Amino acid sequence: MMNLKKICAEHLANKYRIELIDLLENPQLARGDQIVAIPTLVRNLPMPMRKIIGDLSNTERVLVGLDLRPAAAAKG
Amino acid sequence: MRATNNGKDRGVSLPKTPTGIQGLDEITFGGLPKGRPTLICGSAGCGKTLFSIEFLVHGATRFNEPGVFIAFEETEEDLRKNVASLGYDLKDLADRKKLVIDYVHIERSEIEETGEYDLGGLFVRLGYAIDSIGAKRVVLDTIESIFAGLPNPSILRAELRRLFRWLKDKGVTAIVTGERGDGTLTRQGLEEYVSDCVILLDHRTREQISTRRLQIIKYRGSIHGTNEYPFLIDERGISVLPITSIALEHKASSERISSGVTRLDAMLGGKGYYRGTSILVSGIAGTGKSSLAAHFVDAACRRGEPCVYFATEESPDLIVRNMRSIGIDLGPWVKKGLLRFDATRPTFHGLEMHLLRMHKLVGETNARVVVVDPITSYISLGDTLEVKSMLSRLIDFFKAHQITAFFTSLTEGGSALEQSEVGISSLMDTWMLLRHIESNGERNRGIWVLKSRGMAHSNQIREFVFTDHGIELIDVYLGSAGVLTGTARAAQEAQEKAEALLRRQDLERKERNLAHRKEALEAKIAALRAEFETEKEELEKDIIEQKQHEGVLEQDRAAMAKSRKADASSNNRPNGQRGE
Repeated sequence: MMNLKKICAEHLANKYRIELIDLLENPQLARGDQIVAIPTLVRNLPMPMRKIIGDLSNTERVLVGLDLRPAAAAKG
Repeated sequence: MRATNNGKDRGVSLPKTPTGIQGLDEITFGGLPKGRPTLICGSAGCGKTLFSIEFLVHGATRFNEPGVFIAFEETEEDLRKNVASLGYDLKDLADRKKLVIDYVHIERSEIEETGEYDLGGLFVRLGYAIDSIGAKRVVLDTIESIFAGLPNPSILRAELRRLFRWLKDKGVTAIVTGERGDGTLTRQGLEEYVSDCVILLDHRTREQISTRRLQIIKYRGSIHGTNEYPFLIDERGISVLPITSIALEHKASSERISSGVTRLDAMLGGKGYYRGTSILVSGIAGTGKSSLAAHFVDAACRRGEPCVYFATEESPDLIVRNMRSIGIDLGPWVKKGLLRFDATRPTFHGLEMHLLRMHKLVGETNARVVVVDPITSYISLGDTLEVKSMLSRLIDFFKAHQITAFFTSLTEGGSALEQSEVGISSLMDTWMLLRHIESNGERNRGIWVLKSRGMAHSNQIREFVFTDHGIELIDVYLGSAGVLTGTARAAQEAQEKAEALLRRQDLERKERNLAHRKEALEAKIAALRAEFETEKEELEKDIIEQKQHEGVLEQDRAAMAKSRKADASSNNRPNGQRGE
């Protein structure tokens, strides 16, 4: 969660909204969003939907996943 | 069949969950290991998903165990459609909270891996699904899909290990499916994690006939059949064919049942076949094998016993019609439901499939008598060994259920009539041969009882004749010219009759002769006697007269002497002394 906040602050500058879902409290939501891996960051907008799995320790990959940096540049 | 016991004490076997799949519970001696995962692997299309669905459906409907199906490859909707034709209403089961289907879709292109992760989401979903209906059975089909969707195989493997431990802790009986790998049981080596029970499904096509087989590769802690078992998928789901007898431990009945032809019963020790035995009738085309079968079935139906007639060459209608012409009407038995025909061309599917089909039909009808006419049609489906194997399994099955089985075998014409049968005939308890006998330009039929185990049977040929009230057996003629049948026999019989008549007449004539002679003799005697009587009378008369005459003479003399006053002394003198 901390990693996410850091990345968002650095790269998205107020153009985001984070919703934290605790699956232990709301297990049925896992089905609807097709969550298998934990943790998963689901980027709903812009389309297409992206799922970024993992603890977000690899910033490069996170940015690729969020489409904030082209994949060719990120070789992490 | 060899059963293996993987080291555990035979008396204590781990608890099992019945699958409800026909035949599978028999080969596993109770079902799948309870509370443990079972791996079902096989190539695409071999039936893994169907097995899994049946496991859950039966669990929900018959064993009161709700189930969860985690589908990685098909959506809920797809699954419902696929099994609807089997009569499984998955929606209804879901509504009644007996079944939960969760479609897990992992879209590779959406995913970016950014660090450590685990499969917590999957666990949550699984746990939620299980808890929501109190499921006791779980299916993961096919969990190897996660390797296609998610990166980092080492994380996935670790998670899989965790998953199976978790499933065991949850106490659910799980089926995990895996796709067959090249040289390995599954592509991702699931067999490492799921080692309690492993079942391999196979789908082979050979010479245009496809066969499905199942094999229990491993079943820890339990005895199980180790062979490949054929199974079929039909409109009612999966049926596995178990091999029913491990040892030759059939009970032998001493009850006798009629063959339907009285004189044939007489040839068979006077009473007919033993119940629960196998009977073979061999002969070339047109000798009357099916007619004997029809008699047998007719007799059984009369006794109220259900019968199944497997016709492999002729349609049931044709058979019924043909039998009517010899006075056997099978129609009413069919209507009453006592006789069931099954006409399937042997080339329609593989040997095992036929076996399975027969098993099922016999099970449904509770048949006591079964006819397979002719069994030789199956020979085209495999080599002799396979056919013999199929036959022995079939016969085993019948014997185990005390079903009397009647097989006909169509042989080629020619001198090797009996030899070609030897392989099959060794499996049979009773073997009869129908053969043409040719003589004097005629062709008649003869029947021999070549063998009949356990009874004294006639070893003599009988002539076999079709009449409009059924088959009749007639004694043949054993004359100096050999066996005579047909008109030759009739002629011989007529000749013998004539000769017998002549002899009788001759005898009568002699007797009459004797009587006459006796009469004549007696007449003669009577005449002689009469003559004698007459003579006797006369002689006796003469004697009396003579006596009388003598008496008178004496009297006269005495009187004369008295008158001459002769005294006693003068009596001494002769008559010359008188008259001086």
